[in-house]
Amino acid sequence: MTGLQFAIVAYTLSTIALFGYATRVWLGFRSFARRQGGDA
Amino acid sequence: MKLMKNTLITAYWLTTVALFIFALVLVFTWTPTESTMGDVQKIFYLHFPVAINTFLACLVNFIASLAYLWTRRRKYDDLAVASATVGVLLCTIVLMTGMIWGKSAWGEWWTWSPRLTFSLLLWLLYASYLMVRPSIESTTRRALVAAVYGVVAFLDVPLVWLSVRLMPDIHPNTIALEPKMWLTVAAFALPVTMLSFGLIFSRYALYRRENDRVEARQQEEEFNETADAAATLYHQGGLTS
Repeated sequence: MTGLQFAIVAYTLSTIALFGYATRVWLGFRSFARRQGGDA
Repeated sequence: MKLMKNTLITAYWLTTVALFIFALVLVFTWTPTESTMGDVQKIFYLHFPVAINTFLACLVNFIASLAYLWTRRRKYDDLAVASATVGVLLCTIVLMTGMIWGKSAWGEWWTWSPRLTFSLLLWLLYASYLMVRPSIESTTRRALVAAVYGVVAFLDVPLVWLSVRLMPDIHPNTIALEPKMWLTVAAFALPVTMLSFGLIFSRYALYRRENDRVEARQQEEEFNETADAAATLYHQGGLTS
């Protein structure tokens, strides 16, 4: 693998990790809102 | 008011995503290639800001843990666990990008140099923090144990920072970059910091809502039990008199 390919792999995995976790938190808020609506 | 708050939050996240994409484009199209290491050095522009934000997340955990020990208020425990979660995520990215860089630059994924060892220790300490918490059933005891652990775990952060300065290490110590390269570091530092703090406070807000809901339900159940007991006593009294 070339240096550029290593760099692209590193950036891809990091972006997935960061925004994957952000999506998980956002889904947590949506799930909470849905449960609260269900309770009401 | 709620609409305004939601609009601000959406604007914050859209700005973060836009700045992150802008920084990515900058790295691969505008930033010059470093002469000694070549293209793999481009990892540095993400690796360095994420490492700084890992330390900041640990610092938030440390301050929140101290605040919990001082005040015993639940919200500080919620902030501590939110920052530890984000800290572990960021530290994972630091280790992963560092390993990829190491494989290309040194020919091996891992070496037990002081900086790398203390960084792995930092990840293990905060991962353990998150794994130990659910095993303690009492919420107050869990918060207390976690707060003490959080204060002690933070001692590793200065060790990570100072390791390359105090001990011989394969990890680079000083960084010599062209002005365009420093601008790229700054271009990445902003969205990474916004993302880290946005994630810490979002996770904290979610914990607060969930815990408030659980506490409200517990109070409601306790009230109902007391009301039932009082009603039973009343009826028994009424029957006997």
